[in-house]
Amino acid sequence: MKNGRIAIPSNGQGGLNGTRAGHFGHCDVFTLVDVENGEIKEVSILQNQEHVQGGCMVPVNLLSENRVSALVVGGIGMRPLMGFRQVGINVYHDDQRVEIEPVVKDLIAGRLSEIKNDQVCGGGGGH
Amino acid sequence: MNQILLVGPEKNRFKDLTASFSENQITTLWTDTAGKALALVAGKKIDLVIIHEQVPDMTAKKLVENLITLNAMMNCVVLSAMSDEDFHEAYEGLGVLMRFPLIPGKAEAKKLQDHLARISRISDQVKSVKGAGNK
Repeated sequence: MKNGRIAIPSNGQGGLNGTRAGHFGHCDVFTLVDVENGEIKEVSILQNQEHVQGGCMVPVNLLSENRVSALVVGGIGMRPLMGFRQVGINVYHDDQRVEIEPVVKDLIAGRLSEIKNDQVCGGGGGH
Repeated sequence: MNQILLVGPEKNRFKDLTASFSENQITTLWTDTAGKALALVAGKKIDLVIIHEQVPDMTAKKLVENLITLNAMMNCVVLSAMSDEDFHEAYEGLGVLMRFPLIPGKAEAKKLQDHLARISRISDQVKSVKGAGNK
């Protein structure tokens, strides 16, 4: 990834040294990482909104409004995945590491894969 | 919300629901199959789809999947006899707003409109929330 804004669902205060939230719809904040020419230019924090049943499009609209171009999740439900795709946000998958920084660096380096339809969560997954 | 599509084998099942929505100037359309529902959604402005769990040509779950693949913004409700736990297990991830009993009435219509109003309030807040990186 050469240019764009990455969002990482995060615990607590977030930030590059923080940890990732497994349940993206319920995360405390999104860590936003601006990338320019393949380098981290700026890191900012975006407060998540209240999550209610069927309110999957709230984080989709939140990240879209904040010009996010890529999202990294450990899991995600089918509806929010379709929503992110439909607003032009690419969704990447890493369910191994809890730390934010190495996942961001791997995404910038092109080492993360986009999540596939058969990797979506049902029953209490990442939505 | 202006128009709701009702999908299920018996139109009469939705009679009380339709009457309640009508009192709030919400129009309802009815169809009996998933195939017709998908065609209607593709050609009309539909805000929400309410689906009976026993649609003849497709499972309700598959119809929800097809609807959100067409338009993830489409809200869905399912009429089901499942327990809350089984319903949650079967449908979570698909973003279904709520489960209705097999013959829904005025109380369900009110509950749905209250829930949608809550989501709408949260969505309105989103428009004013910007990250620190937005200048």
